[in-house]
Amino acid sequence: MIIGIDLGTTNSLVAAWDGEHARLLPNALGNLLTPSIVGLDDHGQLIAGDIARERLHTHPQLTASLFKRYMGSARETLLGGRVYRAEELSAMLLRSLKADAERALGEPVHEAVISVPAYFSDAQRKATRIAGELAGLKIEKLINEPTAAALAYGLQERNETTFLVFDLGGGTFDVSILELFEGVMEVRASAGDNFLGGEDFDDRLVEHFIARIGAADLPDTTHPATAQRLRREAQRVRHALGQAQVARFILREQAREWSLELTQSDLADIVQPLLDRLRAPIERALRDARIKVADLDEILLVGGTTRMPLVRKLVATLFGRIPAMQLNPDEVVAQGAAIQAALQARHASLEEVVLTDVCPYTLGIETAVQLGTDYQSGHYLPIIERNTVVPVSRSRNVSTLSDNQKVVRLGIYQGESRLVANNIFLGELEIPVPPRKAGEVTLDVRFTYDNNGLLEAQVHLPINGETRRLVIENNPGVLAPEEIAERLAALEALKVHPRDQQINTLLLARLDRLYQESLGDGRQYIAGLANHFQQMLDTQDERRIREARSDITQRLAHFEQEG
Amino acid sequence: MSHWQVLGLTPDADERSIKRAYARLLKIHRPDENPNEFQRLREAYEASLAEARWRAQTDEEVVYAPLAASAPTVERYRPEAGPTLVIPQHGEIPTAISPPEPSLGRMKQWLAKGKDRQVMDALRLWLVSDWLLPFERRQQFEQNILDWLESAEGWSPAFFDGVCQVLGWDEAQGNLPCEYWRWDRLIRRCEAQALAETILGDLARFDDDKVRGQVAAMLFKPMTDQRRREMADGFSSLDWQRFAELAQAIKYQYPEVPQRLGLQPLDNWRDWLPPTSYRGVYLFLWLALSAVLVISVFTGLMRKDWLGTSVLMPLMMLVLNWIGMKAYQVWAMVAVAAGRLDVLLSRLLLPHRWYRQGAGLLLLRHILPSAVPAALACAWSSHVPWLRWVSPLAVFLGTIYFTNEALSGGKVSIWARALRGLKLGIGRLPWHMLKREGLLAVIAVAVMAATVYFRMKVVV
Repeated sequence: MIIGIDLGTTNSLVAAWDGEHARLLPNALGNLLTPSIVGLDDHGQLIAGDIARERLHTHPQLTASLFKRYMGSARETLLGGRVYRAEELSAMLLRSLKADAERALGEPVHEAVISVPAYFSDAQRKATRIAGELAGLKIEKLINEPTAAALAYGLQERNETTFLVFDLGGGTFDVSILELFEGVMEVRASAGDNFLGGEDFDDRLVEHFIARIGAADLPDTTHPATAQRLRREAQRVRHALGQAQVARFILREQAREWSLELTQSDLADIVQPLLDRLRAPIERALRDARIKVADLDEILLVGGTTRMPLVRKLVATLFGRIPAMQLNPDEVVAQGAAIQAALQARHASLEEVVLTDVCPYTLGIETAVQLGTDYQSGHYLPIIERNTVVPVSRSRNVSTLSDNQKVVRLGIYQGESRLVANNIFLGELEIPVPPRKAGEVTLDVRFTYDNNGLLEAQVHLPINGETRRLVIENNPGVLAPEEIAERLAALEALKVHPRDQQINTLLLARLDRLYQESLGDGRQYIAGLANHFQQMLDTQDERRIREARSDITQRLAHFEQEG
Repeated sequence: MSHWQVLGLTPDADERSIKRAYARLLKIHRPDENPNEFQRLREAYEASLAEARWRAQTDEEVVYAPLAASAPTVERYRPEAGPTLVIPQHGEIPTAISPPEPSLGRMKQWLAKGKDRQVMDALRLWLVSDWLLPFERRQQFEQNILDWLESAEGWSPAFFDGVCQVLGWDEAQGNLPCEYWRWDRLIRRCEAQALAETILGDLARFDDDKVRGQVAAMLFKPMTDQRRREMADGFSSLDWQRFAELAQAIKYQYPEVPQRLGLQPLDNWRDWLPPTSYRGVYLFLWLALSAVLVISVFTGLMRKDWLGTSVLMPLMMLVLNWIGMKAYQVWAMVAVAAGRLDVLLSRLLLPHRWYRQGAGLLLLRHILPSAVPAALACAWSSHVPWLRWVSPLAVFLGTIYFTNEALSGGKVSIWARALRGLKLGIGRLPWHMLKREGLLAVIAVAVMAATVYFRMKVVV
C-alpha cells in the first residue's frame, strides 16, 4: 500500500486509495487534520499533532512548529537539549502520520507519495526525501501540491478543460495552470512564493497588536511562550473575522489582560501588503503558460488560507469570476497525493491519467561573456528554462577561456536573473581538462531534471570522452549520506508516546494550557477539572475515564467560548 | 524522422488531432517509465503544436486583420471595452466603474515630454485604484506603459527603475511584462543612458577643474597632440584600465552613445594604451647585438675560442642590455618632461604612420635612443668592412620596428602570435610524465651512459 501524505506547514494529512476513492485517514484522536507540530513529552517520548500543539504554549522548549519553512536550510531547532534539523522534525511528524495510517488501514505502510510546494527548490525537495527516509518511508514520488489538487479535481472532470490552481497554504503560495485533455493532465506553468501563507498573516496581526498596544506596555513578546500565545490568538482572531464583523484580540499573562478590537476592514488593511504579493506569481504563470484569463475555465482554491473571505474576494476580483469551491481546500492535496500513489501502483480501478509536470524555475550555469577583447564573468547561461515539461534533459556547449586551461569550474545555479549573483547557488563541478588553446576544449553540459524535481548535472568532454556527474557538495541545506544514517539511528532511539493514551494526554495538555492562560476564578475552575481528571485516570477504570473525558471536554468547550 | 512522423501525423494536422495523437502515444511512453522516449515525443508535440498554431494564426491574420499587430491604443480603455465582472453573491467585489484620473492620454503626453515626476505620481494613483485589480486590465495597462517606454525618448534609468518598482517588474524574480528580447532592449537602453550620463558628467567635471574626468576627456575631448600626450603621460595604470573599459564599452556595446551625445571618440584609442611589454625589443636587441659581437670576434684578430666566445658574449650582452634599459628609463624621464617639444618635433619630422597623432613613435623618446645600440654595433664591427654599414642600420631599424610593434596596442603581431604558439606547444608537452619516477630514472641513466661514452672516447 502506498499512502499519500500532505506535509503542510500548519497541518498535515494522510490519505489512501481504497479502490474507489481517495480516503482520508484519521489520526489516533480521530481527526483528519494533524497539526504539523512535534515535541517531546515529560518522559522524553515523541509526541506529534494536537498534543504537541497544546504543549506549544506550556512547554515551548520541548515543542517545534513551522519547521517546513526551514526545509533545505541548515537551521537547527533546540528541542529538549538536542538540536534537530527541519528534516528530522519532519521525520518525527511523518513517523506519527505513518503510525496513524497503519492503524487506520490495519496493515504496515512502507511507501508514500509526499506533496511539496511546486516552488520548492532542489535542496528543499531533497530535504523532504531525506525526511521520509528518516521516518522509515520509501518515497515513491514527490508531487507538487497544486498538481495533486488538480489531480483530485481532474478525476471528477471529464471534459477538456484549462484551469488554474490557487494554492495558499499555511506557509507557501503556489499557482499552477493546468490543461486536461484526452486523459492527459498537463501542467502548463507553475509559479509561487515559498514564504507566503497563513502564518505570515498571523505574524502581521501579532505585529499590529504589539504596535497598537505598545511594546513597552506588554510583557516580553519575544519570549517563546508569549510568542506562541500571541500567534495562536492571532490565528483565532483571523478565523473569527471570517464570519464576524468584529473580534477581540486578547492576551492574558501574569494576571493581566490586554485586548484590542479588530474589524474586518482592519484585517484587510493589515494584510494588504501580503495580498499584494499574490499577484506577481499569478501573472507570471499566466504569461509563461501563454494563456489569457478569459481562456481559463475554472479557478481552483486550495489550501486552508483560501478559506479567508478576504482572499476569496481578491481572487474573484483578479479573475473577474467566482472561484470553484466544491472541493475541500484542506483535504484536496492529500487526496491528490493518494491518487498519485494509486497511479504509481497502477491501481486497476483508476482510469488511466497521465500527468506531466514542469520545472518551475530556470536552471543554468555561470559563464563569462565576451565584451570586445575582455571577458566578463558572472553571467547566467540557462540550460533548462522555467516551466519546461519534465522529465527533461537539455544540454549546452561551453568552451574554455584561456590557453592551456587545466580545470573548468562549473557553478550551477537556479533563478531568473541574468547575473548569477542574484540567483541561488546549487553546487559546483570541477572538471580537469586537457591543455589546449583557448576555446578548443568544449564541454557538453547536460542537465537532467527528473519527474521528482531532482536535478542531475552531467558534463561530457568530447575531446577525451570523459563524463562526470555532479555530486553537490558543500551545500549546507542538504545532509550527507553518513549524516543521514547517524541521524536515523538517533531518531529511532527516540520512543514514541503510547498511542492509546493520546486522547487523555491531549486533554491533560489542554487543561494545562488553559490553566496558564486563565486568571482568577477561571483558573481555579480549570485546576479543579484537572484534579478530577487526574483522579479518574488514577482509577484506571476505562469507563469512568471515558465519562469524565467527555464531561470535561464539554465544559472546556463552553469555558473557552465564554473567553 | 520528422516531428510529424513521431506523432504519426501528416504536416497539415490541426491542433486537436495533434493533441489526440500525443495523448495516445503518451500512454505508451510514460514520462516516469521512459524519460528518453517521452522527451522525444514531447519535443515533437511542441514543435507540431507551434507549427499548427502559427499556421492557424497566419491564415487568420491574412484574412481578417493584416494590420492588427501595430499600434496599441488608449481607446481600449473605455470602460465598456473592459472585461465584465461577474459579481459574486456577497456583492463585495469592489468594482470601479471608471478608470482613475489622470487619463492615459495625459500620461502618455507627459512621458513623451519627459515629465517623469508627473508620470510616476499618475502611475501610483492608477495602481492604488480598484480599476486595475482584474488581471486583464492590469496586463493591458502594463503593455501600454511598455509601448510608451519604447517609443518615448527622454526618460532616465532612474525613472525606469521607479516604474519597475511600482509595477513589480523584476528580472531576478522572473517577473517580466514581455518577451525577454523586448525587456533586454529596454535594459540596454538604460545602460546606454547611464553610460551617457557618466560621460557627460565626467566631461563637465573636466571642464571645471581639468583634474577630474580625465579619462572621458582623453577619449572624447578634441585637443592638440601635445596636450593629449601630456595627459596620457600623467595617467596611472588605474586610469588606463578605466580608459580601456570605457573605450571598449563604447566600441562594442554602445556604439550609438557618442553619436547621441554629439561627441567623436578618439579613433586610435588602442594606440594610446600603454604597451603591455617591451619583450620584443629586449629580445631583438639581445640577439642582434650578440650576433654582431660574435661575428666581429670571429672575423677579428682576437684569439679564437669557439666555446668561450659563443657562450660568454651573449651572457655579457645580457648584462649590457640590462644596463642599457636602466639608462633608457632615466632618459625616458627626461623625454617625458620634454613631451611637448618631442611631439612638436615628431610631427614635423616623422612619417604619419609612425607618429600616429602622438600615440606612436616619438623622436626624442624612441628614435634617438635607438641610435645608441646602432652606434654600439657600428663600433664593434668597425674592422669588418661589409658589417660596418649593415649592422648599425639593421640594429637601428629593427629597434624602431619592434618599439613600434610594442606601442601599437591591441594589434597582435606575428611575433607575439608565434611566441604564443610556442608557449602553447610547450604547455601541451606531456609534463606530467616527468612526475613519474621511472622516466626520471631512465633519463638519468641515459645521461650517465652518454657521459661515460664520450669520456672513454677522449681517453682512447
